[in-house]
Parts: sequence; structure tokens; C-alpha cells
Amino acid sequence: MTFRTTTFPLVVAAPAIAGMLLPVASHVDARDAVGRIGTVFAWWSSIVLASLPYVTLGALFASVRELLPQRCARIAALAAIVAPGCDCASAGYASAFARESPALAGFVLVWTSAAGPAALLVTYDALGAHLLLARLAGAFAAATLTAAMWRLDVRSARAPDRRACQQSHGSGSPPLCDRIASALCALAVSASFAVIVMTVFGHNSALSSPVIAAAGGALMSPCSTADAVIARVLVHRSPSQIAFVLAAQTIDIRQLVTLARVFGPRRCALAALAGVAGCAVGALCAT
Amino acid sequence: MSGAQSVVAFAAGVSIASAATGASAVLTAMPSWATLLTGSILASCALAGASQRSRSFAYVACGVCAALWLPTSPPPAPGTVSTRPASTAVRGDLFEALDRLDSAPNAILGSTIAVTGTWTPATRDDLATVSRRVVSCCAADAVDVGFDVRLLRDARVAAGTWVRVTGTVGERVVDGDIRFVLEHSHVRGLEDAAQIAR
Repeated sequence: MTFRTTTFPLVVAAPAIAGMLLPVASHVDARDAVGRIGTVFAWWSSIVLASLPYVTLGALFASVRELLPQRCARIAALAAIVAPGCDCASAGYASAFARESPALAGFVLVWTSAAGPAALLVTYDALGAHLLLARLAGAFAAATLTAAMWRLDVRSARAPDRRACQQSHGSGSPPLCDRIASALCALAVSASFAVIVMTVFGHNSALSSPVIAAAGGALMSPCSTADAVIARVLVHRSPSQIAFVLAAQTIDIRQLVTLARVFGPRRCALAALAGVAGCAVGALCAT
Repeated sequence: MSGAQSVVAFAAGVSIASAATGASAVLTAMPSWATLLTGSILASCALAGASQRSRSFAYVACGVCAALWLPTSPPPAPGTVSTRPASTAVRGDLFEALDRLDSAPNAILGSTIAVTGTWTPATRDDLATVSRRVVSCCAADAVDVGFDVRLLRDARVAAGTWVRVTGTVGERVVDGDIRFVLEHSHVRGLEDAAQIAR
């Protein structure tokens, strides 16, 4: 998907709509409503602003990768896996893997989101060594399952090539600009969903069961550097905490929008299935 | 000039201006220089090869104007104050007390402790709180952690004031969840210490 000019106003309007979701039981106060919309807008802009450096770095990485010979794919994959920072970067560099083998692309994109170095460090600090191992197990399960299913998926094998071609030449703008704008658009969409969920439920809902915790993580899609901290505060049991952090990185809106944008809806659905399985594996390991 | 270049030019304007006004430091955990550097890279991306540079500059200017609307004081964190510890990496007496409560609650329940944090006055439904904010990535990820406070004597302290609260650690059940509360508490404003502690 190349950048679409009409999408941006829509995603900018979404947080304003979320801000208007006033509590039904309370009286409507104009000053309160304006303050509420201001807060929702501040949350939305903070997500987009915080992701900008990572998106830019990711897009620069993707552009450099295109200059390298084809056999450097494994080096690029390794660089993505060990790169420090937030999972937002994957929105910028996902397109660099569009022409690689599906198995490699699937594994790298899921693993870097769910088990990047920064995410692992924060998980160890906030949730401890046992849950760090559970996160690693869940992330490995999700990444290997995604790789296996993408490799076996013959029907959408040709689609990524077409998309990659569109990404390079589709809009007539420099590929780097196109990459950054498309990634920003995907992040703006997920940020809109996140602020709607936060406006309606807040950070104080009781996410007791792993299934509810996973749904919460997927809808809120917090960054990989923040998910463990939020899980410790918001979620009370270890399996639910791991389900929350894994879902927040493997089946969250940001990840799914990125995968659908670059690899198509079919592979996005397969990655989501693998993500659900990864959450289950992680929750079982955390028990 | 394509739509993508317009968006990148706009984002460049927002980045540069938010770093300059301090909005990026308030809204994100990213240092201002990193936001400024990002803005410069985005601006050079948008301007490189642009056939109509004046339009690119116009979009950068629009981004600068949009960034002036961004708040320069922290927005409230989503959700209420949690009485669970958030992370062991952050330091402070309040975090240490919550960590001790999490690891060995019986050792600290019933004892008198003093913690520092931001004051939130009581409402009709909720007790007052003393809390610290943990921002991992951005304002939307922020969580407030601290204690509920039941004052021994009524005190008028403005919301957001940096305070030191001394009280006896107790617990109460709210909606099936255990919350820690400082009972029989005294609150003291710490205006001078605020900058040092933060």
C-alpha cells in the first residue's frame, strides 16, 4: 500500500471523536468536554511524536538495505533483531523484507516486535526472570509459526513483490519519503484505536484472565518498552501479564496494520493466528 | 510534490517545533535533541528532490504551527493511581515502599513510613493520593503509582503539589482489588525539593 492522502485527515479526526465519548451517566459540561478532547489529543500526539525517531531510523535502514546486494539479507535480518529501541521502527523497515524469503521476513518482524533487546530488558526489570523466559518462549513460538505459515502460504506468494514494487515507484515520491509517510499513517491509525480504548476503559480495568488481558494488549498496543510496566500495574496474574505483553506486540493493531500494508491481509491474518498461539504458549510457560 | 512528501514535511515541522517549545520533552521520554535531529532528517528528506520547495516549506510551517498547539505541561495519565509497583529501575522512597510491599507485605503493613510524590486531593468518591509518574515511552503509556491517603486532619493542598506524606501503611479492598493506603497521615508541601526529587 502506498501512502494515501485521504487517510491522514481520517486518522487525525479519530482522537477527536474518541474525546467526545463522554461518560453517559454524567452531565455534559462544555469546559470538561474541551479539556477531555485536549487530553485525548495529547495522548494521540505523544504516541505519534515518540514513534517518529524510530520510524525514521527504520525507514533509513530499509533504504540502506536496498542498496546492499541480495546476499546481505541475513545480515540485515540480524541487524534488525539486535537493534535496540522500540518496535515502532519495524513499521519503517518492514518493507525492506518484502522481497526476502517469506519465512525470514515473518520470523524477523514478529521476533523483533515481541522480543527486541529493549523489551527484554524492561520485562526482566518489571516482571522478573521467570516471565522474561515466558516472553521469549511465546515470542519464539509466534515467530516460528509465522515463518512456517508464510512459507507454506502459496496463494499470496506473488503479492508482496507487487506491493514492494508499488512502494518503490507507486506514488512518484522518493522511496524514503513514501516509507516514512506510510509507516506514520499506520502508526496514526493504531494510535487512534489506542486512545479510543484508553478513553473508554482507561489504564485501570481489571484484566484478570489471559484472554481479556490479551485483548486489552492488542487494542491498546503499547510500545515494547512500556508493555511490561503497564502489565505489572494493570494485570495481576503472571499468565495474564505475559498474554498482555505478547498480544501487545504480535496481534496489536500497529503490527497488523504494518503487516497488512506490506505483505497483504492474508499473511497478516496468518501472523495474527501465530500471535494468538504465541500468547497461549507464553501464558502456559508463565503458569 | 507528492502527498507523502507533504506528510514528511509536516512531520518535520512538528518535530522541530515540539523540540523547541519543550512539548516533546513533556509528551515523550525521548530527549529533545533526538526529536530535533529527527525533524532535521525529515526536513531534508522532504526538501531533497522536491520540485516545489516553497510548497515543502509551507508544509513545514504548517507543522510548526500545529506543534504550537501541543501541550507544554504533562497531560493526565490514563487511569487512576495504581498502588502496585511499576518497575525496580526507578528510584525514590515511594517506589521502594511499593516494592517492599510487593515482595513482603507483612513486613511493612502497620508500620509508619514517609513517602514523597505528587498530591491529588480527595474527591467525593476517591481518597486523596500521593503518587509518582512512570513514563516509559510517551504520555499515553504513563502510569501513576502511589498510595491512597487518609489524612488525620483536613489539609488544603493544591493538586499537583510536591509533598511528603507520613502515615501508617494499611490496605483496603476496592472493587475486589487490594489497594494500599496511608492511614492517620500528615502531609507537608515540599516546593523546594520538587526539582531535586524529580
